[in-house]
Amino acid sequence: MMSHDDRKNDRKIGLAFRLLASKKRIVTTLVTIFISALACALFALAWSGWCYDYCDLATRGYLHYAASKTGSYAADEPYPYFSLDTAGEYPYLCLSPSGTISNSIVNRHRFSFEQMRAIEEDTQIPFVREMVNTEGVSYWGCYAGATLPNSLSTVPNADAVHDLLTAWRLTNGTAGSLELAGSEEDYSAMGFTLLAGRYPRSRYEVALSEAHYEAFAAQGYIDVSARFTTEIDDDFGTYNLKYDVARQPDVPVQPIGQYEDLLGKTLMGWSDELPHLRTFTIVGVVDTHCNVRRAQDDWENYPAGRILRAEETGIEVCRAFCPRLDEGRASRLFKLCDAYQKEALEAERLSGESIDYPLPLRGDFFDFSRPEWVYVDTSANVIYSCTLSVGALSAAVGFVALLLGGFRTERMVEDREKEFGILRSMGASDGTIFKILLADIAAMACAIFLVALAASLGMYYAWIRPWGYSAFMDAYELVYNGWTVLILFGGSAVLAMLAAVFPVCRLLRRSVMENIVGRREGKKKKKRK
Amino acid sequence: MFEIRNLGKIYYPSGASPVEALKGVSVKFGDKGMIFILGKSGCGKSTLLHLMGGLDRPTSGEFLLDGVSSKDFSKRDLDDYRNRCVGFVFQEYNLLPEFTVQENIGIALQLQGKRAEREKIDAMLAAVGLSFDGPRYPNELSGGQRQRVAIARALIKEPRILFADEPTGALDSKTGNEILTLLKEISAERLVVVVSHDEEFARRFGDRVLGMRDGSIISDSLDEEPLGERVED
Repeated sequence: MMSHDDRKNDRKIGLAFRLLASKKRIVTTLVTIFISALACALFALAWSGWCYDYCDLATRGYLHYAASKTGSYAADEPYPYFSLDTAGEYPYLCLSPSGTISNSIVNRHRFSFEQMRAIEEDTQIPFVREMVNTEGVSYWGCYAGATLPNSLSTVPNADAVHDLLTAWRLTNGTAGSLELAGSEEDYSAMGFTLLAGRYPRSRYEVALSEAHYEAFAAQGYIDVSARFTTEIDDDFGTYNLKYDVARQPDVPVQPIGQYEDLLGKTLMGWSDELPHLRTFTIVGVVDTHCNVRRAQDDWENYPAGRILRAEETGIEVCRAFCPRLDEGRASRLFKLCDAYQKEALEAERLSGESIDYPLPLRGDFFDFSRPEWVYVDTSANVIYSCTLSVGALSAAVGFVALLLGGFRTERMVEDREKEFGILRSMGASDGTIFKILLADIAAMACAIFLVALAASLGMYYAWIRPWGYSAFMDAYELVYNGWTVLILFGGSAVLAMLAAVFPVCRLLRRSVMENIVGRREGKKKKKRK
Repeated sequence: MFEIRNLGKIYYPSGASPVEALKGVSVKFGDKGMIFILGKSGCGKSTLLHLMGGLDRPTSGEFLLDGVSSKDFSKRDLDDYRNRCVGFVFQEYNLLPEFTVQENIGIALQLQGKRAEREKIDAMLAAVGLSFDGPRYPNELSGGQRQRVAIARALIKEPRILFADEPTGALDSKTGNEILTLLKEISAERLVVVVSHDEEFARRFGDRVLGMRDGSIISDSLDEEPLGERVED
């Protein structure tokens, strides 16, 4: 009776808009469009960064900024190095000026040992580990004083020590060199060369940089481990050395004239294991190609001047503190690090300018008294929280928009239900009716998209971008990019479609006469047994 | 040939008892002729017409067109049935008010996947006794003109069966007479089934009259003395 070929001739009615256009429901339509647009704009602004890969966003923003500031510093180093550090519960992303990628814990950016190995192979960048303890602080070498390790201090007499200790307490404890952990192959790949001894192999062996050697050579070596006790500052996991007057006050100074003189001597170091303070044996002196003066001015921030630890220590730390992170993201992160480092080096080379380091810090986002650290990843926490908050707000507004859109579509369909019934009586299929309504859905989606585009652009440039710059010192670039527009487009279409689903289905479920007459046929009640 | 078998319809109004509007009606129809379904209000005649026209779903029974049962119809088949096999004329005309007369007729062609050719539309309007100089909207027409447009819209699809639900119900007797005369002319080439409560019209124009009461066929002029020319199955 009816051929399947004939069915293909069921075409859209080109007069759909005339059928649907109505001056009624204008206010409802406009309100629906604006609320839907607001929901889409909020959602897109909140999540476009995540879609863009949050990690890259955070890293790109900071690294771009930091690289521009540390280019000259990095130029001193023979190898690329990026450090992702944390300090306690306030993680930060720190661009260290040397070049080998090291790994530590970054809040939510934690790498398993296996991932780090994969990243090494992927990026071909030597990878040494930066040590962290449960406080998130790198293992501090047991040093005291602003510039010199305590074991390296020249302490000619007890009074001087006492004065020094007093001064240390006033400065809130110790300072010292951070540490790297890796294998001999890792260090060699970084271009390090042994000046004496060997690389550390066990947990309680260390090797020193030439910057440390120069400090010992200038002022002699003092073994303070037998002469000092410590007071531990739990707030920061630091400790203060306390001179034990009951012990022999005179501490001999041993001259250091060559690299081998340091071999076998000890440093006091901090460990998570009890007792926290323990000694580490110096087994090697390494040429890290560092700027000695710079290392000694800033033991903490200058990786080339760090204490070298054995790989096993780093492995154990990473295994303990590194939950799995998406490997793709981790890999991209480190490729980005490498790329930015190279850009910085090139930019520095081209500009010929020297840029100061370390970076300034904004006080709102850190709890440390030391101004050198930039807590970009703390700001990442803030952004993460903002993203969640705005995302939740967008979901709530979107829900309201959905209800409003559904109400508007329901009323629009009701207004035109008789016309749809007449069309169906003439042979219009469900598909034809849907295509007519699709015109309305498409028009709504376009309107929502355009309004959302304008709203999101306005919100971004009037509020989010200035806020981001003022909050994060230009170190964070909250994006407005193709992802944002894509999310706006998708969100607009989804909202418009979802709002129409229920009313359209109800319309088509009714019979033609129900459409025309407007009679709603009740449901047959099931007989009770 | 068109046939209905045990066609039944029960309505379930909210908060009220079910209403059996049609009780297992069975009738055979020919390919041509004008069939009247007579009955008082509420007897089920419009319900029967709607079921035959595919505008409503039966609770029981089926209709057959050339031996093909409506029970085998998919939703798409039913759409096609309304699109190509039948035309429907309503008491209230049910023209689309936002569209001109020509566009109303043209939509019927578009739904069949055909082009709404102006010449074809004008020819159909002429066939129903209408001629307009330019575009006219339904609200600019008289009742009789609107019903003619509705008939033209139904006929342009070239249906095999034309169903008319009280086509003269909203018209005066003179205009109603003109409309039924037009339908009578149409019935020379196709089956026309008209629902009406006007016995005089049925007697004058109908080739066959079915009487209904309380959802059932109570009389069939085929079984009685012939009314005018009898139409053989």
